[in-house]
Amino acid sequence: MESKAGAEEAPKSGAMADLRYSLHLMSRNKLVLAGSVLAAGTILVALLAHVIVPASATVDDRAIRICWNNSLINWHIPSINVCPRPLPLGTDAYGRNLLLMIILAVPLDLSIALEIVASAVVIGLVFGSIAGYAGGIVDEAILRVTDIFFAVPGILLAIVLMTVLGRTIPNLTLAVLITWWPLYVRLIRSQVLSEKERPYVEALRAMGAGRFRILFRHVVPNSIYPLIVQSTLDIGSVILTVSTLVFLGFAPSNIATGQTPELGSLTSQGSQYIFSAPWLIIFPGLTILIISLGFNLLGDGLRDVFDPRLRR
Amino acid sequence: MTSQASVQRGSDHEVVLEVKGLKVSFHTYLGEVKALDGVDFEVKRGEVLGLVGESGCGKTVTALAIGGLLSDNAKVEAGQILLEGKDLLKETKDELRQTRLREVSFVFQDPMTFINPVLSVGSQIAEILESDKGFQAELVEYRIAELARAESKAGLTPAEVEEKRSLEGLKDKKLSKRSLRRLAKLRTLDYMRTVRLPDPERVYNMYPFELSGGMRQRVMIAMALVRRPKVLLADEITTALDVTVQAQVLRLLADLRGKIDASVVLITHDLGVVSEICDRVVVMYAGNVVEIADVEELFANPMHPYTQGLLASIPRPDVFTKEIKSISGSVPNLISPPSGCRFHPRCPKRFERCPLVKPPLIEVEPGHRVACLLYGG
Amino acid sequence: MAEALLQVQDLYKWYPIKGGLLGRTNGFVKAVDGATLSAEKGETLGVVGESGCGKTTLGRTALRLTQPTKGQILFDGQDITSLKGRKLKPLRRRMQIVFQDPYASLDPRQTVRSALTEPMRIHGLAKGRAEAERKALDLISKVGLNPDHLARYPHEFSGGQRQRIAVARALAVSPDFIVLDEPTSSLDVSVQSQILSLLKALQKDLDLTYMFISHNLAVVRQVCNRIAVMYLGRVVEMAETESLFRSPKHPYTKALLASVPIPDPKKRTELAVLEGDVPSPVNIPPGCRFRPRCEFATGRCAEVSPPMKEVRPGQRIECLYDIDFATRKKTEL
Repeated sequence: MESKAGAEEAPKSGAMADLRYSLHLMSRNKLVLAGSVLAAGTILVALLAHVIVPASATVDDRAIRICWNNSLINWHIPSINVCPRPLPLGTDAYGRNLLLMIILAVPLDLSIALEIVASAVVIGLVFGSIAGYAGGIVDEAILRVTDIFFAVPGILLAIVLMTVLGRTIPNLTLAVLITWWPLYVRLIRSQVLSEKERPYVEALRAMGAGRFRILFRHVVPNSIYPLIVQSTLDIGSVILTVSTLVFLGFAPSNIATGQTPELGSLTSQGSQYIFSAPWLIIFPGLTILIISLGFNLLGDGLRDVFDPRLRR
Repeated sequence: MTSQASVQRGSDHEVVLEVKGLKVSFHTYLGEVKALDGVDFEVKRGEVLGLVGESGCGKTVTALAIGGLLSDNAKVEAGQILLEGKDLLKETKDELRQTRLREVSFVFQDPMTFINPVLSVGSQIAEILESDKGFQAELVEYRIAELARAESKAGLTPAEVEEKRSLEGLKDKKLSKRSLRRLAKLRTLDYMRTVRLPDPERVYNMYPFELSGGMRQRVMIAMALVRRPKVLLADEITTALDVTVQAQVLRLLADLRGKIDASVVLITHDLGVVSEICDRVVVMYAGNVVEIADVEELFANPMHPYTQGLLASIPRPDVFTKEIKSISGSVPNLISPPSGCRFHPRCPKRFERCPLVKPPLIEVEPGHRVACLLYGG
Repeated sequence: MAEALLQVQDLYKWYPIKGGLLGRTNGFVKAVDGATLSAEKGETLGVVGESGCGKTTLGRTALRLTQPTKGQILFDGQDITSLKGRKLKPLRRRMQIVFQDPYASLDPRQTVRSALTEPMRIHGLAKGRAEAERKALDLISKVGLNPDHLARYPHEFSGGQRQRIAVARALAVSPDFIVLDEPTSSLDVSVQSQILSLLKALQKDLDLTYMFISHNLAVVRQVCNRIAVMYLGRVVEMAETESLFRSPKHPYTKALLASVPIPDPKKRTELAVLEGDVPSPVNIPPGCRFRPRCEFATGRCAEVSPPMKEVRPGQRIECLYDIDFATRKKTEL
């Protein structure tokens, strides 16, 4: 046998070069960089919220004092003249420290969003890969079910469900999830469909690999990139949807009234004072905007990073 | 003006296109790819020049540079591309478009990248003739000549006599849109016959997807020829075709020489194709020209060790070779190409100086140039 | 005559063309349309033809990667035509395939080590990690790569190296029979011969039988013992390599061989040109399917589909005539 093949020069690029290139692609785009910073910041705030904010902060001030008072600004609702302490973002509708309430709201919103997206991903992976790999009647049946859900406006369906099932956090999660999962089934299905036509799948079949091994060891892991992108993008949208539902009052009473702070309910409570104390609605609203913007930008950035056309 | 250049095949040594010291690099995330590292060769009038080499040798990059089609991340570091003496690299964008559209034409491996899928093939060829005012005079002259030929042979119908008179009467050669259309179509059908598309009237109205690979490639060749280019760059045009269809296209190319005034640069990795229709061959390796010679000389007396290895490693359809030779290793990565002679790590004849000195292209015998230190430099 | 390892008898593989709302079948792509051939133990059987002739489908169907429409496939005496699911698994260990594009045929997220040990795991061929590792090391050196290549991913290799990995993976189950589907078509010439030499050496060492599918007649001449020429889903000529190249008997084979450019300018001849294109495998002409392009066709060719007949010992053609191409004299077979 002729030898020396080992001396063939391999193009030098390992996992490290790939990672470095990914980071390079991300850092090149200013918006994506901003998105990553915002998303990372959100997660950090969520993790540390209960460390930063003392439990006593949620106890409301019995004599409601709504004011925004610090070294730069001094704004009171006319009936109240005295503002007890300077606060960077003023008080909320219950006279509590708004900044701390927003910080406390972040982990609640983020955890609901993560739960919904993660469940949608799991459902999508299971049904999407089965539909894509099995094909035929199974595929057809799963697709038609997703069609039904696509046909109903998401928020309407969620509202109906909340009304029927009752206003609890698990029901809220469920309601949004029910409108969200079909997207992931579709996404995974189309990925699996294109991936399973690749020659390596045929090579695996020739090797005697079973359907499940091929599907879950090879096809699905190779279909995962678009899923990462989509789920990142969706964290922002889900937060938006959840807070919308809470804003509309579809939440357990302690949340809907803003006793337990949540971004949607903070906004909703503030809406009563939209002219007299606009910061009540501006700051929580702005927070929702920033968080979903952050995840959206990050998702867009990941899409670029994973884009095979940019790869090689 | 350029389109009317009447060319004598006799002026064999006249150089149409000359590439001098061309260096091109590409910026990629892994680093700077030094794709061309000083490429020198020339194309003589009327010849079929083979540009051969393996993947990554720079043959396609060279063609793209000549055609002005390099991608955005490419940079021409140095060199000249002289088309009849004028440097294409120095021209402004507009001049360049004019020159290149008219004087350098491309035929690609995959015709579908260049043919509009939603327009009939005939109309696409005709559009080239209609859109460029430079072709109008020629269209008229050609039609008059055609009618004159018909007249001397079999006489003309009254309508044709009328047409000839009115065409001859066109002093300023400004055509109405309708007659321009008609003349362009007639000329297109003529070109379609030249490239031997069967049943041109029918094919004229067909869409690209209705044609077979071989027919699409003929359409591409017709599109390239209507511009009456000085140089026709044909990039792996037969690679995607089956061998019986490849034989048809090669025969077409062989028949076309002499009929058209374009020099053909045939870019290929297939030495069988080269030996079949080329006059001269430029062998490239890793961004360098390593050898240039007449085709018979090159196959009979390859001088560069790479050319020798390459010729020895092609399986031949006409004989059985007990032991197939090969060149050890593989094509180097051009981000960090080997120093000195880029072939030295794979060369069976390398010596101490090879990694140190980049060998110049030296004329060892008349018309036979080699870039190898074994032959001096 | 040696014993046949693989026998394909009158094999059909038709793909339905579905259309319309109800998914009605509007016709069939007759990819393989009554092909018969056999591969003997230890030989390399070449299957050649132009694109669309069904050579790849034939290879895949012979390996039972798809279910044939009709016909019979015998492997080592066993009828494997309609084996299903679990019953195919022992067969998968004995038959393997190497594809044209080595990069696409390797899972991009799998290291070489994992790609080589996975088949062993599937078939329980290695007891424990240590034995799998030892076998992987053995395989990687068999195909001329280094042990430290085991930890790398496919994209880190050159084309030739990737094809070596694909070969090593096929060998991981110690098969008897390998279908090589255009194994060198995507490689550079100088590398192509390395892979061909490797395949030849492995065949000798491991006593393998190959079905070598290719459109490259020059390559086929160098590596095959016998050759089957396919046209529109059928084997139209089958012969020992040297007799086929020296004196092809089917007019298609003759034209095909004459179309190949020879890399020697001194042998430059007018390339024989076969007019027209291969007809679509959906509408196959009746009678002899090569008739519309055949310069020797007669009226009878349109009526009778020619059966496979022996013209010379070991050389069979599907043609009504034994044609002397020099004198153009036809003798009825």
